[in-house]
Amino acid sequence: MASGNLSQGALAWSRFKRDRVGKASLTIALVIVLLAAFSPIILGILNLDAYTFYKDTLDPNTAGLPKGIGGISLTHPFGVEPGTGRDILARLLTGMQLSLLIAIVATTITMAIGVVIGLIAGYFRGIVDKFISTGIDLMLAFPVLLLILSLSNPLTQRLVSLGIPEGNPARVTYIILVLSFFGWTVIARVIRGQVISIREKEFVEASISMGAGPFRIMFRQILPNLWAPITIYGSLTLPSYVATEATLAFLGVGVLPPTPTWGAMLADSVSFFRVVPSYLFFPGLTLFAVVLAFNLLGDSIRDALDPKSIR
Amino acid sequence: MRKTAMKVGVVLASTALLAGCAAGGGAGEAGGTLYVLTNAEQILHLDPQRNYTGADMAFAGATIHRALVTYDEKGNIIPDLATDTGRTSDAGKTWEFTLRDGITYEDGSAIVCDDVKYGMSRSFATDVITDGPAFMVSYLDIPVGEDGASAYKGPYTGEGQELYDDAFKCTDDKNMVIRLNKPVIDFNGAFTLLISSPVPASADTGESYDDRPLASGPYKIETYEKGRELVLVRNENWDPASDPIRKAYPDQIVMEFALDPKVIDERIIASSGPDANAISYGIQLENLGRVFDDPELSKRAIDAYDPYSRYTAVNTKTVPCVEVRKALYYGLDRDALLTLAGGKFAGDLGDGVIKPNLPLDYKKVTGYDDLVVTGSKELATAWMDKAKTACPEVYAKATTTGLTFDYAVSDAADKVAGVWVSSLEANAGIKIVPNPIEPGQYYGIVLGDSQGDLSTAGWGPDWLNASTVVPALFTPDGGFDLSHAAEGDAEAYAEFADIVANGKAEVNREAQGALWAAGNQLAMDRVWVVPTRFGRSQYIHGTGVQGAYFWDAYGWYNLSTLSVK
Repeated sequence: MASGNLSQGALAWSRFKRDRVGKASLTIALVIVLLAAFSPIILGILNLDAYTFYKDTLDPNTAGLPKGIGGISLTHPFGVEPGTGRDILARLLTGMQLSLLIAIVATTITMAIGVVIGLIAGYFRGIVDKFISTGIDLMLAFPVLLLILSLSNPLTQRLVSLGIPEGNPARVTYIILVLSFFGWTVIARVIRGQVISIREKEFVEASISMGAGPFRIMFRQILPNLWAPITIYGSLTLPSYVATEATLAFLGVGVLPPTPTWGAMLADSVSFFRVVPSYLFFPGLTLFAVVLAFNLLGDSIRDALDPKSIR
Repeated sequence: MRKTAMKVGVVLASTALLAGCAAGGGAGEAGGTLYVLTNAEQILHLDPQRNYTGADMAFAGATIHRALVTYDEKGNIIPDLATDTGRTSDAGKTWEFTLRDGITYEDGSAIVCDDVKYGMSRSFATDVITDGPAFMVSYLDIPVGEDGASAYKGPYTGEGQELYDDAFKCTDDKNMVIRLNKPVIDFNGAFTLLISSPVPASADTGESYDDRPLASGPYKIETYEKGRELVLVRNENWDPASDPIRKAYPDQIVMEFALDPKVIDERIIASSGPDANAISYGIQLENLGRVFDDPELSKRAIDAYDPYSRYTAVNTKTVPCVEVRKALYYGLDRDALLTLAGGKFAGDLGDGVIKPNLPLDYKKVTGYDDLVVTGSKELATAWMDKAKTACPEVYAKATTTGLTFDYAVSDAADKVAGVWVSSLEANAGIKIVPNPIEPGQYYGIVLGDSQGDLSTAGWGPDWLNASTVVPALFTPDGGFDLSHAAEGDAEAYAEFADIVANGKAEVNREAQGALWAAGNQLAMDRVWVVPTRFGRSQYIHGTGVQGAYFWDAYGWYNLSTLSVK
């Protein structure tokens, strides 16, 4: 039993330390983030590059297919891409950098919008709440994927005309914006519910009676009590954005070639799965591992912060 | 002429022209059902005046439509509905044709001169009859109105009808006289396209004629459900004695639409049940090795040159600097492009827009003996150094904001764009910005105002004369001018315009060929396009299919001589 002297954070940490799945997934998630952050250095050591055509790995007597089993060798441990001979490990690592960047930025924006709107709706209630909740219902009714696909060209052009450089910067911005724009609704609903209950606590009433303004109460008094749901939902949103980004790239809304992303690699590898199965296997396995690790980590954080919640 | 289709499945064809192709076997057996498996949702156009894709012309022209003239197995022009291949007494300015006896539609009514005349008049209704060849509009002796378009607006409005009646005269039910605005000595080549296929005015349903055209060939449409299937059955009113080429062996032809390309390959390779009588429009890249390495499978496979020259056009208006264009030419890794297009099945390095399948017009392009197939850093950098002083603005654009590279998006095309980006960055220091475009809109966009600096394209001749290539690709009114040399490289274009004018007027075919070759050479000297590949295409058919061969003239199978078990 934890003693009453421990802070809430220390309590959560002690619970987390006893969760073996949590520790394992935290380790994997950290390794992934480090791999992404240091991918240029790692690739430098391996002497690999995501854009080089290693043509000697292709069999000239075929339609450009890799030699041996997917071109796997000591130099190319995950094999090479059919048709070009680009190294799959190098492209996975380079693609991971962008995937994680998009997921982290989009998650941050999503949480920020969701928390602020949830706070406002929960604190003011009444007509404000009704207005915001109806808005959220409307947002949820949109066929999001179709909208993202059909808006991609016009909106990317619009971003360019607003001064964001054409090409990948505009495309990455678009993906981050749409992920955040359609993602905040769930967070806002959760935060709203929490705020409604916290608002009734004595310390809030005390602040009100002492004449504190609504925004001071929201951000100074209530927000510090919300960090548990924020952490939990943040850690669960991140992997879902990694997967969504891959889905969008699979459907053609992604960065420009030759920049690699996991979704584009998966989309391309599907047609080769019969002749070069390794091309589908490694990107698929990596995406699976990353999403699973972050999801389990999110679950463990929730268990640690909120042990009473029912799984 | 014809553009390459930018989707899987429509391209194809041809070296047998040169080799004098081996037509398949002896006489086939009549009967059975031939299956055509395709990824497409429909045939782009069945309307004869709108059909302008090689493989679709091969299909419809061998089955439901007849034209004034057609190609035989070796690619020679032979009479079809007409009694000869056309007569001209004034070096190609006036053409006369006579129709055969015994030619009828599926309803038994006779095909008369007025039907051929009416069919061709439909080409002028450019708001209804879209996507078809525009040869009638540009060559018939009809004045041009103030808007630059023909003064004749087609049979639906009837505006300018008297002008058309004057240029195209039916002297009786059998004989016609067609007057052109300039001599075109091989104009009868245009009639191998289905624009000369007859359409009776009473049967014309305008835009919807595409779905149910009246058959003049050995087969007629029984059912046509887009996204599912097209069923052709025998046209009992077609008289074999009136037809010099179509043998019409199968009793029925069924085209199955909207199949996954992978499934098509697997079905034909397995060849079980009705699939033994199946053909398709190509083999997926990943199955090529499997098919051609297998002694049994390779027996029923075809590997042939197709009629298309692939290239990337350089918009000389936005890249008005031959030095930068040379750097593109020398810096590009063509070897990687060939590997991507299928390795040993990809074809040959292209050296221009005229392919060797036009023997009278093709001449090897000179001046690029120092070209390195994997791209040369040394030469590309040298040209960029020259560009720095010769045209600093274009140099700055190429190295900073970059040149946009238009392409019809697909997984394979994304990799092609990757080759452009990586090899030109490494070899020339040129920044390429890929601009992926939805395939169905691709040509609409690059032929319009939003064309980028570089646009991928492919072009094959309409008939065996580079008059359907060189002027089409580089003159402003040619219809497929992606380079805009008349504006962007005006000095060189002046010389080029003379060559084209002389070529169009030249009546000696060999002298004409030499002029086209000179035009091709000049375009390459000035790098109006960066040629990439003279492509090959591969096919496999089921075990029951007999007499299958590659019909170079159209770039697909010749269904006229094909039979099934």
